[in-house]
Amino acid sequence: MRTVLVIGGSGTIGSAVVQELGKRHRVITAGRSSGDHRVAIEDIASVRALFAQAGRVDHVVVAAGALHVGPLEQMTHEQFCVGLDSKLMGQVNVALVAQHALNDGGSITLTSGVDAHNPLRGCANTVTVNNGIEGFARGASVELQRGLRINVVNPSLLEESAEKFESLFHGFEPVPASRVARAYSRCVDGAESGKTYRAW
Amino acid sequence: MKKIIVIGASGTIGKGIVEQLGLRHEVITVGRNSGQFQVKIEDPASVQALFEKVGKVDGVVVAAGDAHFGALQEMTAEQFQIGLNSKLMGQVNVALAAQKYLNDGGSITLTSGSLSHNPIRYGVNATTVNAAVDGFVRGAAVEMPRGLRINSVSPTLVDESVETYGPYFYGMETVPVKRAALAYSRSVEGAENGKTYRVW
Repeated sequence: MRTVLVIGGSGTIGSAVVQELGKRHRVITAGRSSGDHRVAIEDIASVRALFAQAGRVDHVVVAAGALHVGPLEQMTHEQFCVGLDSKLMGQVNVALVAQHALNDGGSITLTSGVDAHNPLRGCANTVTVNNGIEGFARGASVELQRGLRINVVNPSLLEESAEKFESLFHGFEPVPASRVARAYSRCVDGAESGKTYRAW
Repeated sequence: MKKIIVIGASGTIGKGIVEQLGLRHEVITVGRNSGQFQVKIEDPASVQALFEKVGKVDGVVVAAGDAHFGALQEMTAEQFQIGLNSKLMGQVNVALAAQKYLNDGGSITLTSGSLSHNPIRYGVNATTVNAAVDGFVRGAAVEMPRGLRINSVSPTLVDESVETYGPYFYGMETVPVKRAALAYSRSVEGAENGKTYRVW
């Protein structure tokens, strides 16, 4: 049994990850407004404080981060920065801190999304950010020390969120959160590094 | 003959692009401190001002933008932001403005790099940014109005830069700038949209 910190643990994906990993690990949750600890991933000082509070952990999973969805033609610099500052830089902040805080042999698991490779209208920001995250894991994996690993889960539209996001994802096959959660387990419990596991 | 803006025209790759496109087109050179017009791509107001001065064009090529090179273990959030603000958001700023100033059927060509798929030590910021730039063109391509197209060129290290960057890239085959410049021509003068042309 290892200790896993799940950031975004109360989200749709996060709660499925907590359930899956909770079968064999001690899980600590963190979130912006819920969970065992509070964190704003966009602020690296807040991320540092989280790891200081959480104590020694073996693995960290991030299923959090905001994006901007809207037509490219009207997209502003500020709107585009939403995804860069939150889902991209927020997850990078966690990885930058975690590489020093995790126990030897631990892992970092980040979250991208299906549109990274299947672009949709209104998703220029999300496609950019999700590709950036997958790139980050490839780049970071060759430099992590102490046997640490880093991977990404790329989930498709979830069955549990299908109704909410239907208008964006017409024609996409939704997948159950429990299936997506297995991809996170593959990152945490597996041996690879620098990979993106697609759950679609 | 088309009117093409080249941002970063005095750089190593930029000069090759100007030479190649100049064979058949009117090329307007732009740089931070050199060229016919000056721009700071990181600043959306500066990008907007550039297009107001230059007016309608048929093609926009960007071969500019900084990324941070350094060890992951020592990387700060501020250092990581360099690439996000400059090479990524800078090129996005140009694309967001260009979609309004391009003539029908015009094109936008951005620059990523081979590190997106071939990570090296000290290169995590560039790997992230390059993957995100390639993602951006895929995402933006599906929303381009008026027959506009957007692509990226992903060059590996060019022969002309071996003296400066060679030690980061041991073992990788380099390419002449002349060959990289052909990929920009393919993007500007071709018919495809949302593609990344790899020069490696």
